[in-house]
Amino acid sequence: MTEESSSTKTRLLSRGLTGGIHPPVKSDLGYWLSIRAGALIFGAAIVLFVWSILHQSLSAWTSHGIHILTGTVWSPSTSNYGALPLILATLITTAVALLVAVPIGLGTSLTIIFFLPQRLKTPITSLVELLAAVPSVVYGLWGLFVLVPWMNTTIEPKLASITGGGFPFNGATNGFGLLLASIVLSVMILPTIVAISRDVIAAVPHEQIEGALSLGATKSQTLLKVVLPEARTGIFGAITLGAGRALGETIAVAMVIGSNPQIPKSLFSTGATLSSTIATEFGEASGAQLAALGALALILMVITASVNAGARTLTRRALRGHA
Amino acid sequence: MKKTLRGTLAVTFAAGALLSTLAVSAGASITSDISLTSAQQGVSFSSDGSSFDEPFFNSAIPVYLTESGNTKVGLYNPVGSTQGKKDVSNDVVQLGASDVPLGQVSSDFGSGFASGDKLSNYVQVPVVFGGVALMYNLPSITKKFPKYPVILNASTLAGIYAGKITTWNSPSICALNPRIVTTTTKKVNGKKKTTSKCALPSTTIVPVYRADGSGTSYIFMDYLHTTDPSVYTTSPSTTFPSPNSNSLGAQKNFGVANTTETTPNSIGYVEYSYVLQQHTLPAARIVNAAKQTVTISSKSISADLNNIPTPSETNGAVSNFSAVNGSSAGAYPIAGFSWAIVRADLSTDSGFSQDQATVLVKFLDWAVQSTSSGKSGGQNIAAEEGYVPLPSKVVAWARNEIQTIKYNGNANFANLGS
Repeated sequence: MTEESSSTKTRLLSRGLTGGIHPPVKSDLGYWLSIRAGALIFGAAIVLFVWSILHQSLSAWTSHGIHILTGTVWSPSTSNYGALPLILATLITTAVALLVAVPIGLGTSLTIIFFLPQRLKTPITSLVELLAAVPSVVYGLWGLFVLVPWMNTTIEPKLASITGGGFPFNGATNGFGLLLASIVLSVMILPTIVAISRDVIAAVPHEQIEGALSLGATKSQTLLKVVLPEARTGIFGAITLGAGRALGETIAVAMVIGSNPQIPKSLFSTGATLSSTIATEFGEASGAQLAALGALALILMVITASVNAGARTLTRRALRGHA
Repeated sequence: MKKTLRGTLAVTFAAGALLSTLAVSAGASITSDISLTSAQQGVSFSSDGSSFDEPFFNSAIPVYLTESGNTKVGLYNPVGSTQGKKDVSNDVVQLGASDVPLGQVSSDFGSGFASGDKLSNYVQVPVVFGGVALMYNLPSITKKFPKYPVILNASTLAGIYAGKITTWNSPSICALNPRIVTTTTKKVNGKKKTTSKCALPSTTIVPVYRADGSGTSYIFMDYLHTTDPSVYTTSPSTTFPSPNSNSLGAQKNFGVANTTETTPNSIGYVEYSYVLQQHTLPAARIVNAAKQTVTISSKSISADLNNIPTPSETNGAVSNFSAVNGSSAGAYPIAGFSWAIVRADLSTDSGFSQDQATVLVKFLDWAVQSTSSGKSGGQNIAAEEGYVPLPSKVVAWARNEIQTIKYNGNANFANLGS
């Protein structure tokens, strides 16, 4: 069954259940109303939520304007609220985390489905899923106590020697920084990517795989040219969800990134993301600084929403091309 | 019904064995000043704020409880100076503590504060005087030159924290540390020739600073800006600007201490008692205004205490309180007061009874006093925790301020003695 026909089926089914937009028969009124009320309350909550963040940050936007987005100095002591360093750090850590987690995650899913013997599938799957159950503060502590010294003495010097001290592995190292934050994030989003991509890869029709194999394709050709393209919309979804988690992750990042709002010069630089800055500064903020932190929340929300919207457009386009 | 302290059977009310020992040890010099009625022994106030003050309050409060027989006052919560100010404004606590007096930073009485609140609603008194230590993490240097802690002065500190001096062996730091050298002797033309080279590493300095709002940052910035305004241009505030992209931000005094401890080549500023508590890292010696190199200690922090001006107050606004860069011989130059902030009329906190108000002002009056004239006060405990007891004229000023605290319009409602 292709996704096209399954969505048609859902559409038919929903029409049958709700009677479309027409008012229901009397006996169904309670049901009809309650379903709509649920949707309305949820919609209203989101609208109120956005409005309150806008309201909270309004004075920051009116007094600093576009400077909040383009300013390169975030320094509340001098009333400089330029969030560019924070936006960059947020995007860079997320991108690097995806760069690490997506290949590993897809590889894990393919291995679990196609290569592992049956008796190993469940234990490996639950091990990966266990990663999702670890609270983020524990990841932060792990990063702080285990990874920081290790990064400082082993990993970062090694990476620097690979590029000969060139970008992106240049500059002074102290363990903390964008690279460590990205690595911690990649571990945190791995279970999300594995769980979803495994499901969509497993849903690739067996006939297609058998067809490819019977036409003489090797196992790797089948995986790369049949299975992954067939599952790509679902994989997009997995990546989007992973990106969403990485963009918003706060505590673990705040503990390992170095809480230093500067334009990153390399992956070894310390930095601060939008969410980690909100968490670090909120407790002691008041007045203009509080409004500026509200503005950060709004920027983060817009970024997350556009990642979602972008992924949706891509998915739709991919589906259309597919049909 | 007034009781003497000894008669209150404080020990039986005390929460634990620790408190009992404190009561016994402190019992000898108790005066009747903080005696409470039995009703007052069962009521409380709450306090929070600066983490600079945490070691003081959480050692002083248990002693006060035992000495006064009060069983209810809870411990101090080190939520940070700004939060402490907001909490006292919103009547979440009755005693807020901040390293910077209320009204000094522009965000005071902005959002987060009770609406319509103003400075004249408050009385502010200094409770401790403490130094800010620069702890640094250079294990190889500390091992090789155990007798010579690194020496820094105002302009090198300003350079490091403005992000302009970035390596440990920068000429200006080397020049201050003639003892930290490696010497090589060579024979040139039959003559022995000794050359010495700065032994400080060429590694990048990692300045560790407070990423959250902090009164400790204010005192340190006050020092940097007062001594070298050309290099350190930012005027003091509670939020410390990030020095450069090698820096590390950490939260609260203990966060800076821990981060400095785990990061090689780093330097971090913390309240002196945090160095005493952790004492795994050395504190840098600082060149003071009298051009002397000074190690931080209770003695050096207090060396200039009699020269620092007594603060003054108009309508709740405190001025003349900066105590950095003292010029006395042997004075450690990075130091400042930390402040307790309470409502000028405690009855304006609805639900805060006169009994509770009495406990609060008696605690404050006890806390600012030292051993002078045979009395045992909170400043004794401050000294044990690495702070410096307030000088007598500041104590006199503070006690005078405490007596202006009102309840229902009555000043000195608790009948505090002189």
